[in-house]
Amino acid sequence: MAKSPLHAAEGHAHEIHPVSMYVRTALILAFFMVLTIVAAQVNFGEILTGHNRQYGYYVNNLVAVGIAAIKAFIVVMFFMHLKWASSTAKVWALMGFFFLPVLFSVFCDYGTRTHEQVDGWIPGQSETALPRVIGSRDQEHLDPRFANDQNRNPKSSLY
Amino acid sequence: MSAHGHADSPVKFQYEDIDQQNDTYVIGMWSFMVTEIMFFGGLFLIYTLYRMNYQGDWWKAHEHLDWRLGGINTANLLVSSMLMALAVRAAQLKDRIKVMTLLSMVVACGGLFMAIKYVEYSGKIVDHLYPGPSFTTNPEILHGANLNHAQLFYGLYFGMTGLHGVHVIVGMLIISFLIKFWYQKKKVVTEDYIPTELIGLYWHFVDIVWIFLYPLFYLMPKPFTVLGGH
Repeated sequence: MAKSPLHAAEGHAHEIHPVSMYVRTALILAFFMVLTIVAAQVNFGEILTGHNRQYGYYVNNLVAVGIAAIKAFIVVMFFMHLKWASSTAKVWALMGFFFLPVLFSVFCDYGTRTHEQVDGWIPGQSETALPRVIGSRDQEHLDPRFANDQNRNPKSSLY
Repeated sequence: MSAHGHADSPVKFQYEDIDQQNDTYVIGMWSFMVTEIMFFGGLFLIYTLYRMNYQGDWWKAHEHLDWRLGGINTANLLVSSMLMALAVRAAQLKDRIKVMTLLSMVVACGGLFMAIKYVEYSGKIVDHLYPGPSFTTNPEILHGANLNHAQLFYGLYFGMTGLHGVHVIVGMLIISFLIKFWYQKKKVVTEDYIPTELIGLYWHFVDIVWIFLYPLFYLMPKPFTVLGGH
């Protein structure tokens, strides 16, 4: 027998939460917001010593994205009521957060190919191709290998 | 007593009961949001790649952004998210006046967000920081960053925050229609809280995107290449 709407209103999905739950959630989110600003002022690259200094940048980024992920989790669970949703809805919501890292797995391909073919490259001659690296390329304009880099597409007069 | 197809019942004929109907609606909304996650995800992927490659130049370029304005907008969206959740609660209690009041406050928060974005964008447009042939070459504005790498940064800055801004505007429009329907006592919104909840889910999603955009664009850590030393 189907439940009447009145009867269903007593079910878990229809649960009416106290205002204090929403205010508490907002306060916790505000705390994490302040934390992410404070954490950004701390430079782990300056705190870590010696060889480890170069990892400071990654520590900073992991902390920043980690806090953002915690905040997103809190919003999803409490503001978006996923905590009280059906299992089907939970799986559905998780799907997006599962496929996003899958999308990022394209870096496995990017990181393992050493060269990128560009206009005018000669197959087999790596010096005519663009080196592909994961990591800083800030100094590339000072690197003679990139001397013609800005003109590698002659049709583009934009830059 | 069955609720099937009854003219006064909010339950449509194809559903067993209101729980099943609402669950279906929520899953439908999450399906849409999964596509939105992947939509923004592609942009976050591009961001990650170029941020890794041009750490130093992006950090220099990011110094032109005002983290205080971004912070105000983060707090603003957080408050609006809470107000939205409270509006859904009021809809559950069928407190029409409270729903309309809270939703109006949410729209006002969205308006404040866009006003701050307007201030930020106009400052950057005056400084010729939009990508293209007229992109600034002023090293003071670029904070010493390489021209091309700074253009990539601002391309993604305008692209990602702009796409987010479009979502905020769409959200404000949808919520305005929701307020109109509550004002007109339309059955579609008053007989069950779920339409208000679904629009709330969208608004919270917009907040979540900003939760990631804020640290990634406004709070970049100083990279090793800029710090110097070995």
